[in-house]
Amino acid sequence: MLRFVAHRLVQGVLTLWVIASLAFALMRLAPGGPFDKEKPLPPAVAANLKRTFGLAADLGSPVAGVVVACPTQAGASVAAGATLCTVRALDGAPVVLRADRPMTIVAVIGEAGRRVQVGEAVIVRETSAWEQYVASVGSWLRLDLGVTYASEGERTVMEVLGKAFPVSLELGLLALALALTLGLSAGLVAGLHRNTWIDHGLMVLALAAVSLSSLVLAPLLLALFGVTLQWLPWGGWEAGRWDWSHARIKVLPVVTLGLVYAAYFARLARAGLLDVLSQDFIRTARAKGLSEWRVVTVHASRGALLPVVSFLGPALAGIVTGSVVIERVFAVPGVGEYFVNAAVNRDYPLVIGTVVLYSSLLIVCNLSVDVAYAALDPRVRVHND
Amino acid sequence: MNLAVPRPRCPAAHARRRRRFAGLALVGAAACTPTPPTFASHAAILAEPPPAHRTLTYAGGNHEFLDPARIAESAGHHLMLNVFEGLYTYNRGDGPPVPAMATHHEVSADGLRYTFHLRPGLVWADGVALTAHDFVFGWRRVLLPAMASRSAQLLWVVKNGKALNEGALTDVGQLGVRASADLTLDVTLERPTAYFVHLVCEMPYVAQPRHVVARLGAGWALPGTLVGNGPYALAEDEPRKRTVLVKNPRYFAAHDVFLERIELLATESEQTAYDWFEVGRTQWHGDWTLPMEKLPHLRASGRPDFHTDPKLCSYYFSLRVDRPPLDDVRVRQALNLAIDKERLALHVMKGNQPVATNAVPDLFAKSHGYDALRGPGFDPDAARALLAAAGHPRGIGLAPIELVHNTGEGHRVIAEFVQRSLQENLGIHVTLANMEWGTLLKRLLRGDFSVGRSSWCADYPDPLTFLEVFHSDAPSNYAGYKSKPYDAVLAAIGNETDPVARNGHIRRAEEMLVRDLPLLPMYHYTWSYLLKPFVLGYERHMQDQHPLKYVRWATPQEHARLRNGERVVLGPLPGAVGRVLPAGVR
Repeated sequence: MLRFVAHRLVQGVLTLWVIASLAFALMRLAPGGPFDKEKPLPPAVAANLKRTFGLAADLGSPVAGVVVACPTQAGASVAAGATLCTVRALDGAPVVLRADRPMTIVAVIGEAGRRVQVGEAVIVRETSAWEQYVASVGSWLRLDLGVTYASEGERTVMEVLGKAFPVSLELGLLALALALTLGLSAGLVAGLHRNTWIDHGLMVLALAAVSLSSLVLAPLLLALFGVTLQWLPWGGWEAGRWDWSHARIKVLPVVTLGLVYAAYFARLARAGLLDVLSQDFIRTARAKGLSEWRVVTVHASRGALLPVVSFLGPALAGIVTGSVVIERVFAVPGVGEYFVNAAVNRDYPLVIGTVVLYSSLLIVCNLSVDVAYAALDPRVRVHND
Repeated sequence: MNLAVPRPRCPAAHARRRRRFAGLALVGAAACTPTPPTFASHAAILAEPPPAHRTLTYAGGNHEFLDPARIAESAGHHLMLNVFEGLYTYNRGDGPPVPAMATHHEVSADGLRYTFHLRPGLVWADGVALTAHDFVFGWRRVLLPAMASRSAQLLWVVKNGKALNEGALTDVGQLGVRASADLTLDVTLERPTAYFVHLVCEMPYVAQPRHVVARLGAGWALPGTLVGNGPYALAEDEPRKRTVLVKNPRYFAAHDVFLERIELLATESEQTAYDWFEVGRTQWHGDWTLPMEKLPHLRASGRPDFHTDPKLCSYYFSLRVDRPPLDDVRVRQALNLAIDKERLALHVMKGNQPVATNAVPDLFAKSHGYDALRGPGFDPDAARALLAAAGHPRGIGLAPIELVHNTGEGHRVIAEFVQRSLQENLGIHVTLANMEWGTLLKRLLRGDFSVGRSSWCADYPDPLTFLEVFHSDAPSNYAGYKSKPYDAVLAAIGNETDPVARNGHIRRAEEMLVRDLPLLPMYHYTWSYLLKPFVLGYERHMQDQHPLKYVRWATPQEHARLRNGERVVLGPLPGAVGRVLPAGVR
């Protein structure tokens, strides 16, 4: 068992590396960069920013002297060997600075007539995607995901996600608890009253909740309870705070997110129960004269829960990270916002951070489910010794 | 009393709440105009009494920075301009800057040297004395390449500012700012800059607390350690939740500051900002634009808490002047004449946006005595004649022209209007290409387009900022317009110190733009917001700056006037005092 878990963990780390690399490649292939805003930044300002994040590097003057000319301009793509700058050395001989590889110019600092020392920056070039990738992998190995571009390096990705994740986790767990309670009871009740109006009513409700999805449900509940009736406030979630004013804020998002998953659970539990109830051992239990209550609670419910348990792993990962819409609508400061905004803003480190967070969560959840299954069901147990 | 409250035009409108997201648009096809729930009649809105507390609450986006050297986005700027104050600050409403840390200044006759005199007895919020040295420290810090400040460019007008920021100069002592005494700040500029007193109101120009930054380094700008000099101090900052400012009792004019507390509630959704106002959680709906689908109704309703103010921003299409057939100026002129912008503004955008016939919004009459040029209006016959003169009668023989714009409901609607107008009036076929902003910017910068969506918002309140866009070397000159005479006029505007002669140069530049048309002007922006009527002192300002130290609740008398339907405007304060020194002095 231990070897199985260790094996899966190593696999998980490799998976994470592949995912992070893919995310890195996709982000670099996407057009535009992190500093492209409606109003273009002057080259010198862009150079300062890009240099801070390792997206640009300085090219220094080859000699001490006076800049004669730099016949290139910001934004230009130059081939290897192209002349970047000519500097007249102190002893009078002009020396040419050439591009040692194809590159894109970010800024030209060498104005004609400027006095420069050896190695003093005259050109700022963009670093290549490969250079950036090598640097990134180096920092990933040190468990460092870098700093967010949006904060100009004032906040690390870990810090940003570390603040947002507890919020999403709390929202997710609360919603999951609600979903399980509501969903299981509804599912079992429906299953026990098969083909009655109770069953049909509950299943129509569940189908409605699944099809409406949080996309429609969230604005609907908000409009009704938040805006029109004004029963509940929303916005400003604080993880771990449970006094009246903070708890009230949590009701709407938790209920919305919980309802959708409750619907899934209800349908799974009902199907599971019907499946179990038709089996022989239930007939045996009934034949022994056990009360219907005992048959259902002791004998049938365990079997009915199996499909729910297998759905729990992916559901947990999805419910914790997948509440982008809910978080936006109810102004919940969770991780969801970063999924969308980091990609739109080309905040590369934050994109990698959110992707890694989500993937690790999925990997851990799947692993837990597999371990739980192996423990529960001898047929699934892995024989690797 | 029931004052014309419009009835919902569709019965299910109350349930129809639509939401727009950055990435996922949920806008469904609406058969009729959705009407938001009506919460109060006009009279009830006006009758709402000011609260007993003195806390102003508003919604805003997530500000990234609190450090004045870093603040570049408007969410952070609107908040922190209450915590840091420069030599001068924005007026209450449209008017010249008003004295803040400085009481007055002198300018040399050549317009290159400014001497600012600081108010005696100024202190930081922690009680440490504030001197001219703190300004020198702050300006130098913004320009350090390692700070990588996005707004550093605003300081480039100061002598050696650009060289220092680029890294071409490393000696900060050579920056053109010096504290010749504790209360005297001497500034030398690269070139005469008529709007310099406006610039010193901006965030990069504020003083920074040397004693705090030197001790704590980069992490000083956090609650608990951040020390400002403005009317408010930072009390709480929970990113993405809320930020709280409290009154700074050490501010030099603290007795004039009414609000005790300011709360900013963070949201990323403009719908939430709107809803919070409607349920009474905020008194000003906040920094977000109002949801687009609400605007037509809000306008039509005439609600007394709804305002629309003009803004120093312009929406236009760049016309690539080297791309056939647009390389012929007559074709560009024909395009401009063939679009009925009035109709676009009135029927398609249903807004209050003023139609643009030129590059500069007509907002400088009061401040600069400059009346913007009115370019030619809609004239399809003249357009057809021009196109025929260019050798393409009825558009015959013209390949389709591509119009590129970035994804967005508003952009698409405007692009389609242009497409239809040119097809109907000129027979020119326009193809639309819609792309993400990053992609569009790349194509604009490469010049790889014929007609490209563009916009410009003023960097500083002066017509020059709109004209500089089309300088031959400007990075924002997507049109590729290169005109030596135009550049020369821009230089003349920059060097002219006499306001009347300067306005003459500005007019000449505008005439050149309207003649050469590297742009297709569409409209000038407006800014719409919701504000409780009892909130006074938040007034129309063309730069959209509203220091909250001017804001107060209406007095009982003013409230009575409001209830009678009167408008209560506090109006601008007397502006900053400047004296031009005759040549030879200093």
